[in-house]
Amino acid sequence: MQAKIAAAIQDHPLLAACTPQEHARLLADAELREYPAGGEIFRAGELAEHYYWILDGEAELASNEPAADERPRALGPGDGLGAEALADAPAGQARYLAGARAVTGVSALRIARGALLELAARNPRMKSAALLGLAARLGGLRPPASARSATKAPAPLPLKQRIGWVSTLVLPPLAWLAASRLGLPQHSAVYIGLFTMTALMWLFSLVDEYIPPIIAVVAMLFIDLVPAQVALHGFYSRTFLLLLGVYALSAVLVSSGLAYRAMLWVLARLPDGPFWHRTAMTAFGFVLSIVMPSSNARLALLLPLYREMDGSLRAPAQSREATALMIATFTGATLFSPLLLTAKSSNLAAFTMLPVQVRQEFQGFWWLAAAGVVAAGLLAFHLLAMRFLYRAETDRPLPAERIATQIALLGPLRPQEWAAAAAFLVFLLGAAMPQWHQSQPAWLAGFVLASLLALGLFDKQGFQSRIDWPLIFFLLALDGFTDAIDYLGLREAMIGAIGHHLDWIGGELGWFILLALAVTMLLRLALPLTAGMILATTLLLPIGMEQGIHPWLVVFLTSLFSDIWFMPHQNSSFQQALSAGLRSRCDESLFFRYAWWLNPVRVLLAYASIPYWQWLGLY
Amino acid sequence: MKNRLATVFASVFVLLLLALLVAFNHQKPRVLILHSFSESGLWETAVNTGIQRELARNREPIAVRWRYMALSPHMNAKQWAAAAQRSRATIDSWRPDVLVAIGEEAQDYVGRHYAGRAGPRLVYAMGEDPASFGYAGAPNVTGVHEALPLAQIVELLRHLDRASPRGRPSPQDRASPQDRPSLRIRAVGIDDPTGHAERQQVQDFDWGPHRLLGVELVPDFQAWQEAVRTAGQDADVLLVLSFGGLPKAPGDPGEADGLLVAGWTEHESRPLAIGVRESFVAGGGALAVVPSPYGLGEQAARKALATLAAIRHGEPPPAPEDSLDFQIALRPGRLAARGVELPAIYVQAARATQSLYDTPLDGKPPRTR
Repeated sequence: MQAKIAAAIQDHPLLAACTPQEHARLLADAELREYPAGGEIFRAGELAEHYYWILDGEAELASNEPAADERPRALGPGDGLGAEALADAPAGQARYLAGARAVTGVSALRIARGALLELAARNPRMKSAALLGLAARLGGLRPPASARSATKAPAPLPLKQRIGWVSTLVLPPLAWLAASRLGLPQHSAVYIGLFTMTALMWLFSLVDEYIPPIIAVVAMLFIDLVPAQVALHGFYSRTFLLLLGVYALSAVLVSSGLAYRAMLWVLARLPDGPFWHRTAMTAFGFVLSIVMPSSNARLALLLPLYREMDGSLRAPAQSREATALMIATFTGATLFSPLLLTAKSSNLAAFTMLPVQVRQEFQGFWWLAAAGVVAAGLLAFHLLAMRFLYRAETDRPLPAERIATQIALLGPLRPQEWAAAAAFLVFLLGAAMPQWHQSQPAWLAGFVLASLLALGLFDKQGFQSRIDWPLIFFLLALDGFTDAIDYLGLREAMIGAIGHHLDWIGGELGWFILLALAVTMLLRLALPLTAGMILATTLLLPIGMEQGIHPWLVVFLTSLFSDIWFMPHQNSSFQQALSAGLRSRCDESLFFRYAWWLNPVRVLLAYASIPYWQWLGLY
Repeated sequence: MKNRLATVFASVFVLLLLALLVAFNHQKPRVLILHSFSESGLWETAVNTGIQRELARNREPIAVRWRYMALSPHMNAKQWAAAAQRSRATIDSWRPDVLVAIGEEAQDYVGRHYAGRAGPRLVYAMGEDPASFGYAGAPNVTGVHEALPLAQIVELLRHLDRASPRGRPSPQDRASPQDRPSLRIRAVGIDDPTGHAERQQVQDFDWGPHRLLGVELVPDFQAWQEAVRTAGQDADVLLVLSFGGLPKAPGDPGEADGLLVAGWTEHESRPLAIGVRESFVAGGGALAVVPSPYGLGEQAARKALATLAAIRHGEPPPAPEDSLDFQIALRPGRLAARGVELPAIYVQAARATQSLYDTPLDGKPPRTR
């Protein structure tokens, strides 16, 4: 009997997407029922506690008060009954819309509503399919053929990944052996092996970016390579709380609706011209950069607004105008990453590598102040390009009336928005002027997090789903992984190995900028942005300090140069823009030309900053 | 991970990584550090700090485990034997390459069991004579003998401005240090193996230009009081040896309160009392020059690492040595009451090792030895 029920569950098209574990669990809530000819299966209006699937025999559906021309609808093997059980009604309120009666002897699989709802929570498509079938049946329509999704043969593993896996299996042990042969202490040799493993996994994108450093940290702990205080240092560093606070704040700004309202408000008040439309998108990106340490998250928030604006302006596809709006949106999300400590997660990770006095100095808005020349230069370049290079052929105004109506629809500021605005201002002012709270921005971020939790603005579900836990684990594991370099004395070994080869720098910032550019770009050819920047900082920081270069300059330069990109795979935000329809609306070559022109501008601005840094006493 | 080949690669990777890590852990030489008492003891904590300091400098893979016999004076002989049995069982099952046994009890109940055997190599760290545990001539044994810092005490005596009892100036106070007549020294300790070992060291030491009048080992606190009073008749300096575990009276085997013993000795001793354990100053004494537990830990760990290197090279273990480091414990208030002034460097040395007791009987508990 149980085998027959199990077979019926596995054959049921509605349950085809379930896992074997879900099938097995369902067995406890399923049974086979036999109904004699003429027997009632359920009545209309009765509580819909079960769903039925006819295995054998015929049944018919009939409403309580049939219309004059209504005829009962006949059902046979393979038909479902009682899909009302899947409806999202409060307990005790889901009822059958029509009754069901066996025409011949019927054998049916009966599944309890509770079990089905649990399944439907994980597989929402199952509920839609059942309820659409129910609507079609009650409306007397022929339901669409519910063809099972054909099982697609998995694509063959790309050659790059095959090479990557083989390299990851072979090269790390070889690196370990080679380091041992070169006379490095065993601990250092093992670290070199783990480092090679991590770099290869990143290089060939074998797993998600955040996984390799976690593997490396766990391996280091497993063999006592470094003490837990070193390997897990990031998890009790201030960065942890800073990241949590910033993520919570950005989540509340979005979920409260304040971010959307602010964007509409700005659009309604700015002059209605193409330059100002683009400037608005860029400005939104800047404001979001203060509290969102991920350009992907910022772009995800800006893209819906871009679509609204693009749809309203109706610029021809592939035109300079349409392309410029996407460039402005993309640049808004990405341009300010190196300019603010909290605009890029890797900035926060690299920040922990700085000496304590430098951290204290650069934890607030001093970061932006020190990056002033680069910030002003990048912004000027972008705004001039938007003003003069991408002129609109015709004036296309935004629908002012619609924007006004949208604002009116939002109504007055709700308490959640007030609270989100207050939290944002507290964080902003606290980061800009730490003297008023006499604490550190990380602890202020922690206070903001605690307040949002206490006020119920950031609930348990938000805490679980709106914080980018993989990224946080990635950064904190990376922190431990790079700290181990110091603990194992590899930094000194590296400096020793470099010896006098970098004497040509001679403490000159100009030459060091060249070195930072070369190292960062080389690493970024192979590694994703965060890993590339962290690794570049790890390598360059000791060299820079040895050369008398201010440590913040080293971190800033790697942050600035890690944003340089030439090929699509180097920039995940670009992939995001592509999936948002960049190709269908924009001239890709125009877009790339702009992105490529920004690269030399970054380098020139780094050199242009030298007198300013001298004036600040950083060089 | 839908692609089967990717799953295979990832599985091979995970299994290979696990195999390599486990193999790495298995090939690491093992060191077991065995303490006589529990891990919460201040002396044990200080020794462990020294061990960890030395191990942190090590860059070769080793597996280190700590084990505490957790012996206590309140346990009976059967319980002590059971604790020893459990420790030996741990050693026999984990099979360390080097056993570092710290404290006399760890030698007596565990260490001596492994002397002269093929494995493990034994590194002792304790104050008694290694020969009394059967270590003499054992090819697998080396270690650090905790030596009383007697030379440093003599050096200290040279610096004492007013070493006379109760602050009364003596004729030699006005003489230059070179011209000073020798001081008369007596020592008092407990009549147990530790006391015997300390007496041996005191008697074997060349006290010149001073004179050792005698070392009295006593069975209980009553006899201790008598010995301290007697020393007042002819000695200028009273050396206070270890007194942990001193019974209260002839008919009362209960342990006399260490604070009481130290405080009474300091107040009733006419000669300047100098301890050789920090517990003397912690209990109210004015001055102690004590073997450094941090230094002992560092030396023991260094010896263990050297023993591992010797095993790798197929050599015998390195030669045993005496402990090198010492520290100063001071109670400036009591010194001032005695009219004794020490060079500032002594005060700073005591401060650096958190052994400066500058409040009247602050709550700092004495170390266990």
